[in-house]
Amino acid sequence: MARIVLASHGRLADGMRNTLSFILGDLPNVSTICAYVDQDVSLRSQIDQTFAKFSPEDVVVVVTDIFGGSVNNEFMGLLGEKDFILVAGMNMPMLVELVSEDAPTVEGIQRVVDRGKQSILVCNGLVSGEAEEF
Amino acid sequence: MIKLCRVDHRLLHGQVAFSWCHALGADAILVASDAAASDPIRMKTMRLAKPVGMKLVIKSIDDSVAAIKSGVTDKYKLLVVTGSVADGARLVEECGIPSLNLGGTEKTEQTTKSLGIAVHVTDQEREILRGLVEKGVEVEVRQVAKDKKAVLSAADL
Repeated sequence: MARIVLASHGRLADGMRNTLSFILGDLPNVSTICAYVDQDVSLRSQIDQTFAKFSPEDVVVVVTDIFGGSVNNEFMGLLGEKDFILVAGMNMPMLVELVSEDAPTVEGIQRVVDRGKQSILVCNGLVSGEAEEF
Repeated sequence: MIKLCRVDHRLLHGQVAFSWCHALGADAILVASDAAASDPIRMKTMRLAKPVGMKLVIKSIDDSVAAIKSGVTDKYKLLVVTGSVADGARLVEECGIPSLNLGGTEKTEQTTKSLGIAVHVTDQEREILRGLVEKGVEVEVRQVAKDKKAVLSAADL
């Protein structure tokens, strides 16, 4: 099955998951890693604990808060070691689409990311489409 | 064909657009509402926020009934969203839709019963819904597509 891991500095990942389940309902396949909340727990151990729950057939997509941040850097370092798709720069429209993907592939996730980017908009002066008919 | 006929006082918003369209495999949305069809700002907002590639048609209740009856909607996998129990009941009865989804209605001073956390109905609406159930229409409460369908009996109303 598809497994989605949201990972952030602090509690953003939990917050994202909370809002996602408000929109989409129960999300048993979405896990979160909130890094550096507990000083005694290393990010690496949080990652290992999360991946330990998955089975080899699972397709894992990790979404981190910011490219170049230490959370994403940690996952970058694991790309050769574990099999997962890594996306940096989580935003809500992208996650809504991502959670709806049944069998994620790198190409499919690229499309999800592109649509997510299109949903970041300055709303002042937006022009809506024409009225549609059947 | 009509995949779902939904009552939601917020009409088309993120939850409906994302959760339901994907789950239903819908390719078109009909917003059936006299209020929305006469409010240019509201129509503009909904057109901007609709899911990519989805057809969105906004019509008054009369025009919605006429469109569905005429057969022009048959070729679509259609999600119908309307703002009130009374409008939903009218659509279901006049268009012969077998099921009505209650997704959200506001809690007000007039509402006397809650049918789930997001659905609140007045005495008059309870009577309308009981009427539907007695005629064999399935009346069910679900906010998002992944929720379990709670089908109501006349006694629940």
